[in-house]
Amino acid sequence: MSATSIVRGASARDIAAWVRVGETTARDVATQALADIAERDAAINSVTDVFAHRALEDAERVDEVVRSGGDPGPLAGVPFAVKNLFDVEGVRTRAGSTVELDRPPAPADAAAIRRLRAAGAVVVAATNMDEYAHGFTTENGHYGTTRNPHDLTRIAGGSSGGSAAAVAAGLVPLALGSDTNGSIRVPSSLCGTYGLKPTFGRVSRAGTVLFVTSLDHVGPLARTVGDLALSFDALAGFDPADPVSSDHPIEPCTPVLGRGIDGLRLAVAGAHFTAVADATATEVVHRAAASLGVDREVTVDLSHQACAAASVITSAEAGQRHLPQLRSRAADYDPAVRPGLMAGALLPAADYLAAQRLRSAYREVVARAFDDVDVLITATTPCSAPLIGQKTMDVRGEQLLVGMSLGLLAQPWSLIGLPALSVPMTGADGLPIGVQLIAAPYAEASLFRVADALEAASVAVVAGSAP
Amino acid sequence: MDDADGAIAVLGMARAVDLTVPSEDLAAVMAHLALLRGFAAVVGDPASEPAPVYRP
Repeated sequence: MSATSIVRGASARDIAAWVRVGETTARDVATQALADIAERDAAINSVTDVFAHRALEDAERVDEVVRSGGDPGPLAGVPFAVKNLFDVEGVRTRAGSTVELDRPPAPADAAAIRRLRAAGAVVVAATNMDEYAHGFTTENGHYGTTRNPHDLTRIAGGSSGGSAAAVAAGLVPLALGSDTNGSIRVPSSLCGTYGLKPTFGRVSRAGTVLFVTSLDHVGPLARTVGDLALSFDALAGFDPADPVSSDHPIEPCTPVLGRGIDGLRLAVAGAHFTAVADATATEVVHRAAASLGVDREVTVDLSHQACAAASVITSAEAGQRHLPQLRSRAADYDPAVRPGLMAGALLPAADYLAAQRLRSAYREVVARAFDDVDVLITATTPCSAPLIGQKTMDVRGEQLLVGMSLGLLAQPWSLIGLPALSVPMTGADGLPIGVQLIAAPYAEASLFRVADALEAASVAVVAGSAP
Repeated sequence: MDDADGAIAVLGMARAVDLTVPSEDLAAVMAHLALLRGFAAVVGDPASEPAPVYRP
């Protein structure tokens, strides 16, 4: 096995299995991951921080557990990366900004990192993002643009673009991202990775720089369904340190893989979800539905209004969160992000409260839809990856703003906290594009069963691109 | 409202919250705000009560 072959393209499950039986060591895996990042990341600019010393120390601890006959965990020695809004002990948390760098180094790891580490995984790097998660493109004015590993002239999507690109390029098998309006699912779609936005409150956000308190979620990105399930099972759980954390009983998702979709009621979501999907996005939904034997389409009312409400809530909450810093050091913000935050800070309270009322109404509408459906299917993004610098995209003859519209199919589900999983496919244009699966609150296991069926049928084509 | 009136309105709203909008950002802030008010119009005036602490 060559120096880089263990990590590059290998699944987390395989790496953990090799480490657990002593076929390789966690230290060797970490060393190779670090070398691979050093050698190959320059082309895509997915990584902003490398934690070499810490990674090797953590890996040696895993190896010591193996040597002593203990259980090193289901993710033993698996290297992973985190969006750079996650606190990493001893490191200044960037959140895609330079404003944050005046703060002291993080005193402890974010809760999600602690959970993956407890399962044996080793954090090796932090990844690029839109400043403060405000965007869908990862064209960051401070740290540069993250390029799509499948086509270096195209964006990786955002705001967890660095995490998606690092996974898609094979630098790490797993990464963590955050999702407010689609920021895990959008880059997963454009880069060809699996990405899960769990139910609101299912995974702790403690130790992350929040963007929109009432909408932010934390979740994993991976190259296989199995790896996504392994990481989600390690991440899920109640955390009193996150005020919105849920103590709802957890259903592990790894055991449901291979169970098939018998008994699940599936439907394609129409209306809004087909109106803002271009021909490429529409075709992958049809292909996925055909593979699953789905010929039913349902309309979810208020979805167009839900997107508008999500935008209003996002802007108002983010604007208010940043208002003190916008007053005192506006010049330190990314010029592409600053006007949007300022506009949000000026929104009338009446607009925000109306958006919250719409949110409640939409939750009721969707709850009724799930009375006779278990999993809804849509495209994840309206189209495949736009070019870097591209300002508008053509969707069914309409010119939509790239920076605001890539999340149009993802936003409604985040607004009401539903779990949603993006499955990678390849569009007719040869680029990755995701199919999105959505379920009722806490029904992540149903999503994994459908995603697993698509992977098993080779409908889900996983990215293997490497620059 | 023409651009000049719009600019005056935005600067007034900003002054009310002690925010200084840099001149180079004024047009972009106005455009963003117009977009957001457009979204608010799409939302309309729903009848449901808001959930003060949101849970799915």
